[in-house]
This record gives sequence, C-alpha cells and structure tokens, in this order.
Amino acid sequence: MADAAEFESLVLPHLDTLYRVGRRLTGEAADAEDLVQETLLRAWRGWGGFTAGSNARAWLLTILRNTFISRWRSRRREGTPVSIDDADPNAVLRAVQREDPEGNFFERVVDTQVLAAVEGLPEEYREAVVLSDLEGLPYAEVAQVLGIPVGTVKSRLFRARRLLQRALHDHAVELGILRGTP
Amino acid sequence: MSPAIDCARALEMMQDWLRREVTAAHAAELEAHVSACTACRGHAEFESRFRDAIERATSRECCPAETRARLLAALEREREG
Repeated sequence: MADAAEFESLVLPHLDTLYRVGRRLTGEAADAEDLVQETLLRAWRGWGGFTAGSNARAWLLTILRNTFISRWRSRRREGTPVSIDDADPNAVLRAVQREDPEGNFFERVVDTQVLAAVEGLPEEYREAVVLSDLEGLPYAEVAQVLGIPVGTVKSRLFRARRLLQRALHDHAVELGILRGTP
Repeated sequence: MSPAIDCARALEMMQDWLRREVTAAHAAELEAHVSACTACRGHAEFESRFRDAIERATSRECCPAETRARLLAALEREREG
C-alpha cells in the first residue's frame, strides 16, 4: 500500500488546519470531526484528480468546504442576520472608533470572544475570514478554495472585518470596557 | 506618477496593506498618504490592533489525538473497503 503512505504524508500535515476550519464552519467539535472524516474519505476517493506538486492544502480545503455546503450547511443554526451599510461601510469604523480611536479595547477582548464573533458572521463572510485571517491563507488561495475572484475575496473580507469590529465593540460595551455612545 | 489617494481609498486598502496583500505601487501610495494624514495614522493604529486581536485568537488549536486516531481508523476502513 505505497499509495496509502503517500496519501497520508500529503494529507496529515494539514489535519490541524482542516480541523480548525471545520470547527469554525460547523461551530461544534463533534461536527468538525464528522466533516473532516467525510473530507478525508472524499479526498482518498478523489485522489486521482489531485495534481502532484500542486497545493494540497487548497485542494483539501476545497473538498472540506464543498462537503460542508452539501452536508452541513442546512443543519447549521444561522446567527441573526447582520447588515452593513453598503453606501458607507466606514460608518461602522467611525462609530466603533469614536470612543477609543486607537482601538485599545481590542487588547482586552479575549480570544474566545473573537472566535465567537467570527462564528456569528454570515457564512460567506465567515468562511473568508476563517481562511484568511485565522488560518493565514494568502488571498489568492482563499479565492481558489471559495471559487471566487480575488477582488471578491477582498470585498468580502473588508465587510467581514467591519462587522467583526462592530461585534467586538458591542461586546466591549456589554462588558463595561467601553461606555458606548448613546 | 499616479494621483495621490484620498482617505476613503486609504481606508479601503488598509487591512490588505497590513497583510501585505497590495501591490508595491499601492503600498507606496498608501504609505505616502498615511505619513501625511493624522486621521489615517489613527485609523492605521486601530486597524493594526484589530488585526493583532484576530491573529491572537487564531487558536493554535490542534486536532485532538483521539479524533486523529478515529480519522485514521476511518481512512483505513475505507481503504480496506
């Protein structure tokens, strides 16, 4: 079974990434495990379609994302829909910035709150932020995984980050770190 | 020589610039603007602290050992058909 060893050496270095992305997409550890398992099985069955020497991480993440869409998405509880003022997305920035222009409050927001805010994003924003800002994929690789142009990745990330800033600001107000503007 | 960028354009590019996802020409324009604009220097500080918070939260959470073992076992079963 030389193939099996080769497959594992290609896939296992990316297992943690697949698991973390699965966690953020499904929101649950048990679902993440099921999603990664399905991804690995599909990858094994579709291994013939993988071009040796090409980007294994992007290939696996694409399978994971497609699996998520076909099997999990309908089951996942969606957060409250959020809107962003398309005419002036920077209105969010100004509102958030008013009380703390340098963003010092970001240093007091704990990691679990940041991850919860990411999980509360609408899906098309969430997947872009998870791949880019949490996993550190270059925009071109995010574009490849999501099957969209780099320009679309940029505009989704721009809006997603504004929504995150607002969510973290609101959270800081709830905790009394910021007073919040009446 | 391209025309100088305004604050709106600078804000639009700032997060991409912090992640080194802008061209060298755009980076130069943005840096020139930020060095001359107090408001945008504040924005850059804000955006940079935001980015740091997100990067910090990137849990270096690993796939748990038991999960990993179950995943490998599932692959093994699949291969043995």
